[in-house]
Amino acid sequence: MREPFRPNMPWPAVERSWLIESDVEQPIVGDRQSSLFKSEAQLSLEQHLQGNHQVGTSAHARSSLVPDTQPRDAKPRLLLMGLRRSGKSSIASVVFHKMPPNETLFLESTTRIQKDSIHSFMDFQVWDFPGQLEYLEPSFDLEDIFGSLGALVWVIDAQDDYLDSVARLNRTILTVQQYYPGINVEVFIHKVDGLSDEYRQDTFQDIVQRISDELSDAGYENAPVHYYLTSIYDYSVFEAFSKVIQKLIPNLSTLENLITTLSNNCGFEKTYLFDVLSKIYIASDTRPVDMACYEMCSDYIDVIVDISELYSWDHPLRKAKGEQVQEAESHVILHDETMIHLMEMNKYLCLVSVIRNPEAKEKKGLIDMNCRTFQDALNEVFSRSWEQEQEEQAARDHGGP
Amino acid sequence: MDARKKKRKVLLMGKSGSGKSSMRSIIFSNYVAKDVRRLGATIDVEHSHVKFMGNLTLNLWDCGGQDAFMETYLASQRGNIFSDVAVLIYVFDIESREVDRDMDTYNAIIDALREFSPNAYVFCLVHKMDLIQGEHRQRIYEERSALIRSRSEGFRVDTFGSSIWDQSLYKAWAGIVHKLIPNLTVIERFLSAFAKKIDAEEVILFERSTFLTVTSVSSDIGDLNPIFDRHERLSNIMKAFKHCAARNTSTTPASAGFVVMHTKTPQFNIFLGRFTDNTYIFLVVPPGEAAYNCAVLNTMLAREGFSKAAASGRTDGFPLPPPETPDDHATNGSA
Amino acid sequence: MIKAIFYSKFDTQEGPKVVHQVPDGAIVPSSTAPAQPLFLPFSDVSFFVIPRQELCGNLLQVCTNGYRILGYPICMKSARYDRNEFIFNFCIVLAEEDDFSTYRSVVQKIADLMHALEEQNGFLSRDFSKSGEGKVHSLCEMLMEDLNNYCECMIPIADDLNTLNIKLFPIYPSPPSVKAWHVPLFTVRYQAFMDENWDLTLQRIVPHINGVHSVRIISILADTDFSLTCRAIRHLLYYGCLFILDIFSFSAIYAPTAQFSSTISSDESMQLECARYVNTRFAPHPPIGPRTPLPPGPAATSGGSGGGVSALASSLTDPAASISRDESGFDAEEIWPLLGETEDGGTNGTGKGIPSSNSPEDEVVPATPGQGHRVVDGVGIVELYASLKQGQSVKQWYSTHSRELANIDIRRFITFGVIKGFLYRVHKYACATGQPAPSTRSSNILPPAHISTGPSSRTTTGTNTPYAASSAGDETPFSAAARRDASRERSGSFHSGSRSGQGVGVFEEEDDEIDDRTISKYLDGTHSFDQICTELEISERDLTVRLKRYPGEVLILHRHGQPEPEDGKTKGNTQLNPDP
Repeated sequence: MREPFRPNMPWPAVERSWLIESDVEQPIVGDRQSSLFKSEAQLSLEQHLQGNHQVGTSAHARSSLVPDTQPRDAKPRLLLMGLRRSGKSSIASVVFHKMPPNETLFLESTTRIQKDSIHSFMDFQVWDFPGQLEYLEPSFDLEDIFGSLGALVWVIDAQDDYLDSVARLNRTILTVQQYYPGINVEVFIHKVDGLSDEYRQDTFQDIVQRISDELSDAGYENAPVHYYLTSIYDYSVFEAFSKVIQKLIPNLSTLENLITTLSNNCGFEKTYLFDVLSKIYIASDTRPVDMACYEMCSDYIDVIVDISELYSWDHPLRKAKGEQVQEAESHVILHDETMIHLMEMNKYLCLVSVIRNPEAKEKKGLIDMNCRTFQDALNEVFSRSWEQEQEEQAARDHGGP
Repeated sequence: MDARKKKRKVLLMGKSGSGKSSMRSIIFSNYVAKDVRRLGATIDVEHSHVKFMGNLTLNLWDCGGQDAFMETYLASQRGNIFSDVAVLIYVFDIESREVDRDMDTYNAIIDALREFSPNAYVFCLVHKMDLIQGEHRQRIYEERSALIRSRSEGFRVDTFGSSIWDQSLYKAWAGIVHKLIPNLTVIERFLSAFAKKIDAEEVILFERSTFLTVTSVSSDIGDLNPIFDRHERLSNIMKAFKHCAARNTSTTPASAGFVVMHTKTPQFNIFLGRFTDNTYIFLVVPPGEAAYNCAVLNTMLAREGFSKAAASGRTDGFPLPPPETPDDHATNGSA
Repeated sequence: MIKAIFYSKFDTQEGPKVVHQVPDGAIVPSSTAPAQPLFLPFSDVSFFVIPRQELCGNLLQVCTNGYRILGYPICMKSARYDRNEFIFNFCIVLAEEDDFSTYRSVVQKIADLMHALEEQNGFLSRDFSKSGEGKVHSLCEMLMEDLNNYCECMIPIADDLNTLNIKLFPIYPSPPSVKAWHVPLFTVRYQAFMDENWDLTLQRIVPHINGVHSVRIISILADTDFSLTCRAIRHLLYYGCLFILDIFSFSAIYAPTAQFSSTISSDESMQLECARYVNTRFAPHPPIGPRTPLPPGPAATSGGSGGGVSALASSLTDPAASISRDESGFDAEEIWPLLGETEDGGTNGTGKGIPSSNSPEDEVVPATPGQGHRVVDGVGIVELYASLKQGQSVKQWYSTHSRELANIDIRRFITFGVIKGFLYRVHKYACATGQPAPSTRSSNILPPAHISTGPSSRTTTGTNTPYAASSAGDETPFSAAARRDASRERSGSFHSGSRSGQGVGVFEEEDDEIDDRTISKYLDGTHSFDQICTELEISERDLTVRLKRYPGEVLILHRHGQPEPEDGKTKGNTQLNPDP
């Protein structure tokens, strides 16, 4: 992990809106967020790579402040649930707001449903549920909560007594699956950094056993429940979220095939397609996930974002001295000849590869060309989902006033 | 060459628990900030040698700050401790409750230093600034600096506010190191000529193992960069990534490093590469594929010139080529 | 004698600091102490009392100002301590010249106990009592007082679960290993302190330890495992209850050591002690007769079979009792053993074979100084010892001095010299040269191999004596003369051996009891006859006969001591080098 200190780190391009049960907008908060967003985000990689960012960002920011113009149902939704103090808000803060893990200690407990809209390669919402909320009571509209649900993330504090949490989860699953049988349930066995390796495995086994036993006792066999050991102090929570998000991507297999083809042709050891802001990877090649590669790729994104922040200032005297490709490209060769190659794919995504092939240095041009080809293919895959939206939105913006 | 090897005695002093060993570990021993919580107290004087910039060796005396030790430094060990000192780095804990007493101790140390090494540089670090609320930082720091200066008779003192949790530590130490490098003006002259030739916005020279800024030059445009602490932040960013690389390639942070890093974005291009044995060069040039490649090529050629000069042993401290060499290369390169 | 005890710790603000000291004001100035000079300035030694973390966990000692400070600093790492560490040291201050070996373990034990107590409940780090007060201080106080007064202490620690038990033990060097052919001899009366709780092996073997039986014989007689027997005897040796002697036999050769002139020949009290020990008059049982010391044959004592022990041996059991016998009942002159009458006499000894209790009134010999010829006085004893020499077996020596020895127990006489270190045993070693045996027994020419192998490696000891492998029992003056020849020229010339003309035995007959391969293992010159006899369980005479039949040349070397480095026959063994 990086050191906790992050100098003037920009907030990611995430707008938060606080909703109290009835979905009432609180524009004051929204304004503060968006102004922060505007000034800081100019420095972020995403922005300066896109050109005419100022217009772009403000338009983008403004548009997202009007959630009602888009039907909410269009965005898949991630629900973060679990008992109070199990770490839901910490996870949301670390993954989606780049908060240093040790600062999450000071987070106050969440008292109302907190909804984050994530605008990235695909838009989705993260709802952080207060632990004490009795959402199964009849006063709550299940459709409001679970309709258009992408995944239910249930967080269990592994350092605490988890029997309550398991029981409550089972109740929730049994209730919800009657109405929404296709729902994905992702169980994060959280705060495992405090457990010894052995105890960690035992806890994992025990929780898995209890949940599946109870569910099959209730007649629900082969429930679509997946389990992850997570901690905010290492990369495991990003890894887990990556897996969760990947299930929501309709064309994941296409992406994976594309990446694998690229990776095989270029002799990459491991390739990830990252969401720059959350550092969740939305796809990778089919080789087994290697934590070391993941960490280096993830940290390299940080390096480039941080350096970009230092040198992306705007001034009329700053001029380019020649032609250059619009998307950022960077690579570093480490002491052991490992190369980490990063190439921006579009506004939200970048492709990061680890190359342990000494010849790669010589064939850098070829690698770049292959990556560009991949980029075209990728944008084709995504063209339907967000480019169209943008076009529509642009049309609306023009047509509106 | 050997005769001209520079060994500089650096005293690191200050009250117990003020953070001397912590900052030493971070700067010179590749610790990360959260690791220093595990450090124990320094007993008596801990000596270490840090090779810095080739033939400059820093002989660090990390002096435990407990009262009993302070007394022996000032009494029975006075001559031993305070003679031949090149630099005294005195660390103040901003949180200290006994400012007057701290100042008295500091004053006694300054007296001893004046007696044995009147030509030493004195740097005072007002440390743990992170514990002060942001809005008061500058004011408290300035008050404290003024107080320190008033108690440093006979020495021109440089003060820095620092914290191990941010780049201010790098800023302070870069300032210290800057003073110790023997032929800095020559290096700077070369760098600015070089920067002009390759049309760079900024050229920074980093020390290899510590990633401290040795020196930097920037063009008129580069000077307009609104982020003033960018060098320290770069040190911090690169060192953090070095740790990550070390962790994930199963090696020690000391032996991890970068061979080369290229970054091209629509707003700037950056090149980072090994320059001499002990330095990295960091170039910021405007976008433009051809200009960038040309700058990189020139850097490589200049580096060859340097290593040739170093091999022939004509130079002192920093292997400098004759002034015309880089210019030649530059003109050749851009032609 | 402990001069002071102090408890020091590392204070994260003040640095190394003496928290408690006994006596008050010994190490650092104290307001409550009477004005007195400090033992030493603490700042001089503080670096050794509270050293760097890496040095902690080691016994450290530092001498200054005539004092020796022994400490065992402990550095405990834990996040619960300020600056992650707690460093402390309980130090003992001794006079620099005092022996401190026993205090090493004390210091370490205190450190270990305090480490454990601190780990359990922060016994030290949570003790904030002022200097000179509190349980840690009183612990130091009691420790010093008890150790100085009683050499031990048993101090209950505050929580009643732990007790500081310390006793000052003298440390002895580890005893030499015990071999089968060693002969143990008690220096103390074991009956006085043996009880039924003793080790079973020990209980069984001690009655057989009498200065005659070799370890092997003891284990056979006591029916105990041999290796256990050795270990039991080593234990006795460790506590100084035993001497280790060699197997006494009349064919053995003894000679005085360099200590001779500084001990018995100048020390009259030792002469008296010797007389009392060897005089048959004081033997616990009446001697059978003046001639009994004559050996029935070498086999009897050289330890072949268990049954070979003669009446001589049984009459001389319990020698230790004699050594420590109360001498008040005798005046000085009665102690001297009487001379024998004449060659055919011996009535004196026979008639006076009485227990010591009634000796004074029966004594007919007027004990006047002028009558030196009637008794073997101090000078006589010294002369007798001086007449022992290399190349002369005890048997030969006895026959020369039989009159003087009439009332002297010969075994005790020899043993006394060995114990006191002024006499040493000249051992015999057999060495096969690898050369074919010369054709005649009287061959004057030694093969060249002898020159290079046999003596060359041992010339430094200077006493090797190649001579004819002949029966020790009938050693002739000729061979003794030859030995003298050899020793005269031993310093460098190896030709002496061949010139002096010893015969080298050639033996053709096959022996069917011990095959050549077994015996050849012993013929490398490092195994003494005692060892070979004991291990092969044959008598020395049989061995000699057997060697004569060995197919190949066998040299027999005489030299003192044994080549094994672990050899430790007696306390004086290392000084046994004779004057060249």
